[in-house]
Amino acid sequence: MSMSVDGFIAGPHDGPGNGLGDGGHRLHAWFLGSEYGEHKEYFGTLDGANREVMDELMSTGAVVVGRRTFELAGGWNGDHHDGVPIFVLSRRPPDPAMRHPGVTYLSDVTDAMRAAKDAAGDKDVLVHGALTARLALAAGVLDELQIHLVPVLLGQGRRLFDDMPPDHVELELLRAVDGPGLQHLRYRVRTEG
Amino acid sequence: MGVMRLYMTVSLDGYVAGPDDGVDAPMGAGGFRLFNWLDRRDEPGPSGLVFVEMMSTRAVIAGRRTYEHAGRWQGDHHDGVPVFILTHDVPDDPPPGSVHYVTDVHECARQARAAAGDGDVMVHGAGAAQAMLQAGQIDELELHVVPVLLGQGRRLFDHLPAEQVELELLRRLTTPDVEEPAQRVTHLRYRVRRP
Repeated sequence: MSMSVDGFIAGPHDGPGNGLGDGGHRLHAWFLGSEYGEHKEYFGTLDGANREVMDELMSTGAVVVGRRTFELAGGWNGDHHDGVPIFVLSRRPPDPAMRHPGVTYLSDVTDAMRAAKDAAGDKDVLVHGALTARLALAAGVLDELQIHLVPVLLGQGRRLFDDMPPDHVELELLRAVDGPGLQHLRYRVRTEG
Repeated sequence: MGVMRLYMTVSLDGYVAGPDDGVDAPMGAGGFRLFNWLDRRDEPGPSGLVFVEMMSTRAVIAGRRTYEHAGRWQGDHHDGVPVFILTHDVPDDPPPGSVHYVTDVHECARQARAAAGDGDVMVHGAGAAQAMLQAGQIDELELHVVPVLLGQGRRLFDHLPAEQVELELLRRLTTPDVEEPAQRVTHLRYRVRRP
């Protein structure tokens, strides 16, 4: 997840048509460029750690995503990358417009993670969306966090870590790399004592 | 001229204290987990360096809550440098030691900068951080990011207006892997970019 230094993953007033909230595109500018519209071309220009981290993300073998994030992203037209299976976490029946081959709706985060890991085989699973991240953390089924820490304060918006139980989750920093314009911090969730 | 730098320890999820903090539990429930890195403050390495820098600042600004929770530092935060407490409600009793009470945020910043001379000013506490950030007075942030999620507690960045403040990373110091997991920390220093 791309997160501001003050912990936001979207600006205020996020919703349909304004998926990243007011000013929230700043958080994704490192891989989309400063404006929307030329994603594909900009992707090719990534370099250094930004390229490396994006390549890792795009080589995952399955995606687990919350329904909200999935629908705000237009369902990626059913294909996040390379046609890998997408598991959407939702307790409601799917929107017919958001049904695609390769997209499975599941209501339980543990089931979704298990199904995604099975589908990914030897590859990693990309987990995306704030609520899904929290549910996966709470259920103890998240292995790592990859935070793209963007050097900006948004002040208001949607936080990555919010409404969590007051239980400590110990982490271990596995890797910290500086890309052009931001820091990529990868943490492992420590499960032992 | 020195810089005005916020020094704060935060969990990865942005908390500076656990839930239910108060005078009797200054770090809230479980919040002392955030201070384990300070066990290495007198040793060589990133945390020792950052601590020495913090203790070399020549004036301190803190909010009233932090000040009271810290037992007013018995009037001396470090080396007897002037301490400026931002408060809406000046206590009746005279301030201890090198402490001064100031009610206006800009006046507080002006006095602290003047007192520090060529030295840096340390800003401490979430309340002071938020007030000074909103007033455009913070030059740099030194965040000690602890690899833990507290889940709940008092946030560093809260109650701020929806205004983007661009930062620039000046330095990233990461403790070596040989250290105890609980003592590891990532020190991120940012400059506040002014338009």
